[in-house]
Amino acid sequence: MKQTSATIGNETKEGLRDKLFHILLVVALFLKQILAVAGNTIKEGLRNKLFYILLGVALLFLLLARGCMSGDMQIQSRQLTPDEVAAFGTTIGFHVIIFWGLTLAGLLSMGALLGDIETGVITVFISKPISRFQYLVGKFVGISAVVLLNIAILGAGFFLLAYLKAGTWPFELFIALGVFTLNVFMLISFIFLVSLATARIIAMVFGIVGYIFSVGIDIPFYFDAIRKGMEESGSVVTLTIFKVLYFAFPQWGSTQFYAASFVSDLFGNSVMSFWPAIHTLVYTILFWLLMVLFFMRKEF
Amino acid sequence: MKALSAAGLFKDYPRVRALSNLDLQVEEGEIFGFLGPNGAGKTTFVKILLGLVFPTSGDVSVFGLPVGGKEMRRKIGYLPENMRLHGFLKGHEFLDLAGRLYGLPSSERKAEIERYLDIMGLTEAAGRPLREYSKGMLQRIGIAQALIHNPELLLLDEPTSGLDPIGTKEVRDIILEEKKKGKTVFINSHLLSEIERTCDRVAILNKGKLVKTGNLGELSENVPTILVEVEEESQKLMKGLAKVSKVVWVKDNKYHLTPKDKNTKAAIPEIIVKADARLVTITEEKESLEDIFYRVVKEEEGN
Repeated sequence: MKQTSATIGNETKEGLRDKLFHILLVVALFLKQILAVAGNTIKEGLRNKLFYILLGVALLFLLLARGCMSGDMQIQSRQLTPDEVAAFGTTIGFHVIIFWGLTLAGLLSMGALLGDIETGVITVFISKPISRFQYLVGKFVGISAVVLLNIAILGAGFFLLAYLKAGTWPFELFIALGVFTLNVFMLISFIFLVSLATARIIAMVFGIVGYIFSVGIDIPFYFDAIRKGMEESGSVVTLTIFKVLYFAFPQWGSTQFYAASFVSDLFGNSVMSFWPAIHTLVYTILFWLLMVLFFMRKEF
Repeated sequence: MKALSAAGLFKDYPRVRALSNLDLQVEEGEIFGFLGPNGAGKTTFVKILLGLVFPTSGDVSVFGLPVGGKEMRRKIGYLPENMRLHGFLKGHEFLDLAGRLYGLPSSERKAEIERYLDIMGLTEAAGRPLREYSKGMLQRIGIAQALIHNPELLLLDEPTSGLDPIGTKEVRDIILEEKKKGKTVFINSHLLSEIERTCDRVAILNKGKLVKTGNLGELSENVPTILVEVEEESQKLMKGLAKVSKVVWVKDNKYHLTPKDKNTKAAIPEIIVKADARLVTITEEKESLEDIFYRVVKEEEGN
């Protein structure tokens, strides 16, 4: 009797082990297929001249920006210390890097899905045993990887320039760029979503206008001094409209300011520093839900 | 088990019905030709099989599996019509991508890539980007990616499109080789002569409706077609011949007639004289697939 129970127990264990092994195989294949799409997208991005042109232009701008890392500088009649000047220079470098990173993200993502759909290349992918969701994730991972590679190269370039010019190693630049990747993910998701419903150039314009609008809306809510000034001089209606827009619109601006605050805190940032990161994550997930819903029903 | 089965299949687009009550069955191991004029709904049907387009109603299955699922798509190798590819990819990279998407392990992928590059005569071009490939080379690499995972069903949309006679023969040989291995091949094509040479059975689709299905013997009316060759085509001659034929169509100064009755042949010389045409030859020939196709489509349009 005991032997029988033991045998049944062993069989159950083996069954469970087989099941677990099967699940692992399915998950591994699922990920491998996503990586296949992502790898192809990365190749596409890296064999695109645009990547190298934008990288070259951005490096040129960083060379010019290194001049801001030393010398005499004043803010509101206060002489900045050499460390503060270096931090200011790093802030300029950070903004140069993210500007070109975002430009690349916009240019690559506007055609990533739509290009495949327009040319019919997409049928080569989704007629294979991969789900449409895997294809979307693969495309997203591929574009993100190319943009992050661009940002990483520029970050490393500026890191070296900062040392050569001011003798400092601005490690905080990488934390700032790391936080900023949230914005890159949200922008790519947003442009993917819009590009499924419209022309690629319109998707790009929507992305740029949305980003700039967000920066404009978020300035008073992120910088305490500006918000106080507005509260003292602005009308209640205007402030209410600003507040609604601030909460309802994707917070690219606030996330950018939050990321920049890791490099320098010269202008005084809001107490709600972590909020934009959460907001951005929620919006990225929302864009993804809409994109998946739309893409699953699309006919090719 | 049927390789492919469709029952009561409808597909409506906002302004047009692409497929109307389509019933079709393809047996395992046969080469099946799917014919129809442009806009007949052939590509829509193939896209439904692959889950690229969704049916409005009806049932479709491949080897008993509902369409759209991964398991079903793993059994299919698909060559799209006018296949578009990422031009930046090199030949071997493209096949590697296809192998990865089918979930082939690395060693198998490598072996299959080499094998199919060799079969398709693309070994030397494997390191070149696809944008530098000729149309024929693209077609061949397209077939290679459809075969790389050893599928049970091959869906080929215009497989010989853009190929020269040698390329066409090579593709025909590949299709016949796959049949020998027990594979099912479903071919969408306008090239009736190719279909006639390779297919066991054919189906003719017109305006979304299945008009005829069967082998050539079953589709033919067993009435010889009359071929009238003249020096120059004319409308007058066409009208005259149409009066004594069920169907008449012309290509390269050759009129192909399906006779209305046994008196048709005797009436032709007089019609030619009345039309001031110069006769080259009059011959009787077995009804070809091209004749069957024209007759069936015209009869359907007449209805």
